[in-house]
Amino acid sequence: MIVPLLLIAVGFLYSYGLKFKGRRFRLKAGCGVKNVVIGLSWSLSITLSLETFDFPIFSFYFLKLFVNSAIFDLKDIDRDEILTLPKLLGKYFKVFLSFLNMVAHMMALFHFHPVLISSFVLTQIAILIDERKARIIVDSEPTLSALLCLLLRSYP
Amino acid sequence: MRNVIVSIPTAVSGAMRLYVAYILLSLSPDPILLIGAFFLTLSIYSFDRIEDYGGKTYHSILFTSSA
Repeated sequence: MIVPLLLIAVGFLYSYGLKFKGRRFRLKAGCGVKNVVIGLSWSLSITLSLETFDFPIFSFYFLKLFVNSAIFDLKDIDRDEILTLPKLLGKYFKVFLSFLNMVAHMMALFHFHPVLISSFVLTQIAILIDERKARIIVDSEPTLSALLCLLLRSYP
Repeated sequence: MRNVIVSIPTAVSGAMRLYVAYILLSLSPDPILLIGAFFLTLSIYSFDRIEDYGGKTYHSILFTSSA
C-alpha cells in the first residue's frame, strides 16, 4: 500500500510541486535532481516491497536507475532548457556514468549472483552506444536478467 | 487500448526488476507482489501515455528512462 502512495506523492511533487509563501517548489529541476528522483522512486518502491530493508539492494537500484535515466538526458542535450548532467559534465559525462555503474554493481556484490554480470555489461553497453539505440537495452535489461535467473535455476 | 498494449513491455520490465531483487536477496518471489508491480506499472504508464506523453506526469519519473 505504501508503494503506490509513495509513487503518487513523488509524481505530484515532481509535476506540480508545493506552493509555499508564494513560491513553488518542484522536484523537476536540473543538475541530476530528476535522475535522483527516478532513482529514489524505483529503489524505494523495490526495497519497501521486500520483507526487509536491505541497504546494498537499495543503493544498487538507486545508482542503477540514476544511470539509466541519465543516459537519456544526452539525447535531449540540445533541447533541454534546464542544466542537465550532460551539459554540466560535458565529455566526462559517460566516464561519470561508467563509474556509477561500477559502484552500483559493487554495492550489489554483497548479494552476488551471476545476473549482476549481465546487468553490468548491458548497462555499460547502453552508456557507451548511441543513446537512441540505448533505449532498447535499458528497457529490456530487467526482463533479460529475470530470464537469466530462471535459466540458472533450471540448470544449477 | 493501444496505450495499454504498448505499455505491456514496460510493465513486464517493472515486475522483472522486482523479481531480480528477490533473487539477489535469495528470497522466494511473492507472485502477488509481482503481479501488483506489473499492474501498477501498467496502469501508471498507460494513464500517463493517455494524459500527457510529453513528460509532465508520472511517466517522467518512472519510465522516461528506465522501465
